[in-house]
Amino acid sequence: VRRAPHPTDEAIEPLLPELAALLAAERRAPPPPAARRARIFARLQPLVGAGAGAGAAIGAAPPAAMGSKILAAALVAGAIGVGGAIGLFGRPPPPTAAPAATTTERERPAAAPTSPFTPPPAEPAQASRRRRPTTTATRAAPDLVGLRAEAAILERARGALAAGDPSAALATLADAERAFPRGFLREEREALSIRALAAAGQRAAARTRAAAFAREFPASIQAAALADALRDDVR
Amino acid sequence: MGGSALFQTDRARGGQFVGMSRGAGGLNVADARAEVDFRALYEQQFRYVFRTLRRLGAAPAEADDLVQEVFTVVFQRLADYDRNRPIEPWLFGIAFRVASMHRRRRSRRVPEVALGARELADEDAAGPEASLGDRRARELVLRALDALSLDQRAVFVMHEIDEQPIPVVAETLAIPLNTAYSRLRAARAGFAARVRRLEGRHAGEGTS
Repeated sequence: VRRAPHPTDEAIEPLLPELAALLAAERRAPPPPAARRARIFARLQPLVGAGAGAGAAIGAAPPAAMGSKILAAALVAGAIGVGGAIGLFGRPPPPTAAPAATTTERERPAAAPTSPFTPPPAEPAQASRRRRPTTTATRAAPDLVGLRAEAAILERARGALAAGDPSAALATLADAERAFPRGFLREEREALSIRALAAAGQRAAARTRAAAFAREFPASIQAAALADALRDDVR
Repeated sequence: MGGSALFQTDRARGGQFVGMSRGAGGLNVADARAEVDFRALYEQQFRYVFRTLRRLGAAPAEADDLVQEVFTVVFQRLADYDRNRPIEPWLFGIAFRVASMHRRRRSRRVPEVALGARELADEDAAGPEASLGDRRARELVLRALDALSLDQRAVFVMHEIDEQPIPVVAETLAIPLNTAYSRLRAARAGFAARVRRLEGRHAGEGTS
């Protein structure tokens, strides 16, 4: 069923019927099997459960192909200290988490949830070993330790900004820039800096920096939020 | 808040989530995330994210990693998600960014090819007995999309398959409206030409 065309799209000619039919078939594509859905979620589990303990995410072995990106993201979430992650499932996460690589075989091809909005319960983890954040953290490679530190500084800045202290946030962000000039989380750092500048009333500086941000990260998904932050009087 | 039905999609309102509540005073990041049933979001949007990545050129073997990457970003940014806005463009923006970064990392483009039986079974819950016509059409679509640059492809997929209005496409991809329209025109021409070529080859008529 096609949605009603947007008024501004009326000028667009309709597609040739045979092409439209091909695209309709793609639109109807069935979902991948439930087993695959569960398999990928199992790989997200360390991230989602990161709030269970600071640094827990670092214990997750990311698949080789993804390397540091996923890990960095996991670190951000970990550093953000999602103590509330416990609430994500409406109950505490399982005490153990299966290592991603071995979880795959154990995933039963779960039936689809009864309602698209009611997810099946999380698979009970059966890992034989408990993740120990402290020991895994000490095993982490130096660059991963750096990522964790970078994420932690950013989180401090985010906390200061949320607490209504943009000056402290800016000072912390300046520290982050000195310590990690080409940091992996540079985009997040710049976005935070712009918000902090706006919150501190330095709107001209915020706009200048936002323009540089737009040039450097043209496809950033933070762009719209930043535009909002600059448009409104920021809290 | 508890419960598992926090992420209900209201198609009539353009597919945004309803039920993700935020106090008037604003919540901190952890609180906002705690209110959000990430698992429900994942279950509900897995198919969309998977198909979007395939449409943006992710090879079957890469799709798991990229889906994981998209939902990792989603998890990070949930607190920033405005529940009054449709979810699909938001997810598309993240998937597009992940796909672009992936393409930069990848040394060569992986052309879309016909799937083997095992890959097919992992791609498609409908099983091999599903409509051959539909399956062949989908394969043709993905292969024809390969004719497009990622920028054109994103506009085409979002408008022609997701049926998002061009202004939404332009906003999601952070491009001017005119650029979105011109990319759509170019993408349509490129797509149609590649379909003709592939169909011609399929029918044994040779190619131009």
